[in-house]
Amino acid sequence: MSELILEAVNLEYSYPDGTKALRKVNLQVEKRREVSYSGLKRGW
Amino acid sequence: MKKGEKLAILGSNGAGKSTLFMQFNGIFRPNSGSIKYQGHDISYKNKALIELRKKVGIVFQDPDSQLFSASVWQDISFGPLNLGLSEEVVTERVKQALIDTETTDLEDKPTHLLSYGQKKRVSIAGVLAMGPEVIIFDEPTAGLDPRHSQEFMQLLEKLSILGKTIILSTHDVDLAYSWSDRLVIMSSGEIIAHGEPGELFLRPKIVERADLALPWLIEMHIELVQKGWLPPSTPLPKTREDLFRTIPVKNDLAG
Repeated sequence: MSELILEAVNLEYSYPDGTKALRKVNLQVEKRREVSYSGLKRGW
Repeated sequence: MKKGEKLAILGSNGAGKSTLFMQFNGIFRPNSGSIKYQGHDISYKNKALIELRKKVGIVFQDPDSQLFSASVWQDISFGPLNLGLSEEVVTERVKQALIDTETTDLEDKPTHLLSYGQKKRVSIAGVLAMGPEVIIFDEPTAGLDPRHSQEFMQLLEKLSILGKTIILSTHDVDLAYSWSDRLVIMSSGEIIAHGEPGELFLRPKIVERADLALPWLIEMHIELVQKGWLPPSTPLPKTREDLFRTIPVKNDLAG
């Protein structure tokens, strides 16, 4: 099972001078991920 | 087997990668929308920010912006001392961070006398000593020579095996492709694509729109398939070893 650790939700950001730096950024970062090595071909 | 997630954020200069990172540990505050840590909106009160920065560490591109103490040991211990940890715990953490970054022999050196590569390692050690769950690296290999760059990638591998979640930004398409489990492509402040690295790089419009190029592994693979050296069913190589293994020796072709 993986768990969300960090998330950006509809993030908008402009610098003080008005420059738009981020537009509607959505991103989810998982804490851990199951990694399966069974699909790797080995022994060549 | 469990492992920390490896997420690469790819984009040309000015795409918004660093700005996004500064949002992740509360240095910048969004105009709208929010950042969540473990499912909760982050708070911008001083105490909460200190807590957050323990958990989400950023290694900046320029190590000089991160190092300021007289000696390497002092520099690495600064963060954990400020967390109010006991001297014993701090000593333990600093020692471990020195080991993990292979900088133990530098511990008494003044930071300003270190080489660029050494500074980079010490700045990483300073973040590790805080005991973060997530480590964010902003352009970590920019300015490193190939050997140091490779050593850095080995350190990253060690960190994800330890269960750390790693986010890195880069405009190095080869690094992003080979290293990451998941790739985010940014352009002009927006995420324009998101997914499995091999799949994203096979979408030429995305690559072009983000001012990126193809990783050499994919370019070579496509060429070998087009010219009939490899069957089209050959899986995309993730490493140079993968690619070289698939290329048949000449005798086999003749025979």
